[in-house]
Amino acid sequence: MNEAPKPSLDTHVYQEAQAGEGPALPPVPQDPELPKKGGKFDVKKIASSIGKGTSQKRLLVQIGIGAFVLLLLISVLSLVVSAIGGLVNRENAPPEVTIATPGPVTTPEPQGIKNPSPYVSDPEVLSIFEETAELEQAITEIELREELLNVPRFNWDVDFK
Amino acid sequence: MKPVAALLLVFSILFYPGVSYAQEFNFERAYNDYIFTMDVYEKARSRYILERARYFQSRTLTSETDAIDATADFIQARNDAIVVYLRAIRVKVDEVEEFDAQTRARLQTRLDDEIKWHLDYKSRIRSAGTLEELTDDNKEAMERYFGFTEPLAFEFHTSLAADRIDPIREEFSALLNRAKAKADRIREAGDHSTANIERWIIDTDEKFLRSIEKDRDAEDLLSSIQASIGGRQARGSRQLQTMHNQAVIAAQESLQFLKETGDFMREIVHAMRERV
Repeated sequence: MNEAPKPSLDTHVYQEAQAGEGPALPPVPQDPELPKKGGKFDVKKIASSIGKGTSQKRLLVQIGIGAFVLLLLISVLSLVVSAIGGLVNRENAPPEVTIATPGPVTTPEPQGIKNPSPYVSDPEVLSIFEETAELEQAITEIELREELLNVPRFNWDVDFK
Repeated sequence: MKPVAALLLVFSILFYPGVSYAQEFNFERAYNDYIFTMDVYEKARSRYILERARYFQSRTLTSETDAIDATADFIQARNDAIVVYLRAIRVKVDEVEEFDAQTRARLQTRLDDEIKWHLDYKSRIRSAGTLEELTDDNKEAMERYFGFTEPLAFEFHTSLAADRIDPIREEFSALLNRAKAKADRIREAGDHSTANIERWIIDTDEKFLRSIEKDRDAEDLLSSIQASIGGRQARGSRQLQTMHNQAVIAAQESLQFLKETGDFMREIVHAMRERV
């Protein structure tokens, strides 16, 4: 029941050419490296050529691995140095103060009054404003650390027993 | 007249320097004393290290005598440095205005006790004793220093950081209350919208409360440092230093929130003065 597959157009042309009915086919190019059928193999030549290629490749691979290992060592060393440097800096550096207070943003100074309210010149309102400015100034003058009286470190290593 | 003049002269010589000294004994003088005494201590320490090394190297009678002499000198110089340091702190406690009466009295009493202990101790140092006796003397001072003196010094520093903000915070609180009262009166008058004012008051309140929270953190750390005095909850120098640093950071954050409170107070005033 199964029909044989129909030959393709190329197969058909080739068959005709083989039978001498169609146009002549161009000669099939021969691989110059391959020995001809019935020719002698020069085993030594082939082996030596293979050996040479392998040693060069091996050398290249070794150089590549060496360079990679060197790069790896340098990067590891730089990481270690930066980590130690970071630790030292962290010990010496003053403690960081992190203030993150997202929220409403105040108007930058100077803020003029475009549309004055009945309280624009109210003495009490103006007094609150002035006192706020004074307190803000006082805040900038506060010293929380008494550096001159830092707790001294004494030597307690007295042991003759 | 001559005897009277002579008597006056004697009195003036006797009492004038004392009075002037008492008047001039301020922090600057106390600090200069401290620097000088620390210098003496450093020299005594260098000599002690040298004589100790010589003693362990030769163990001769002469080297032992020299080692005893250098060790006794060193222990005394260290004790002097501690006393002068505590006196400088004591003067500072008197001068810092931000301390409340209770904190000031507490620190003054403890510092006086501590100075007294170290002065008594100085008379007990057995400068003519053996090296073993001096080792015991040193141990006694060391236990006192790490149990009482050093935690007390850290208590002073941490109290300073925590208490210096208090007066300004109280003033901010009073100012905020005045602003709230003014906003109430504006609302009652009905001649100006208070929506913006109230919004800024809520935000200012929040900043102010966060400042108080940070101040409580600093106070908690101060309590932990106080708990270590007298060896109730022994802590090392490094741990005390860390706790002090954390307290200062908390105080700095508290101050920052107070600064933001000030910025927001300006906005309240602006909302009062400007019609929307």
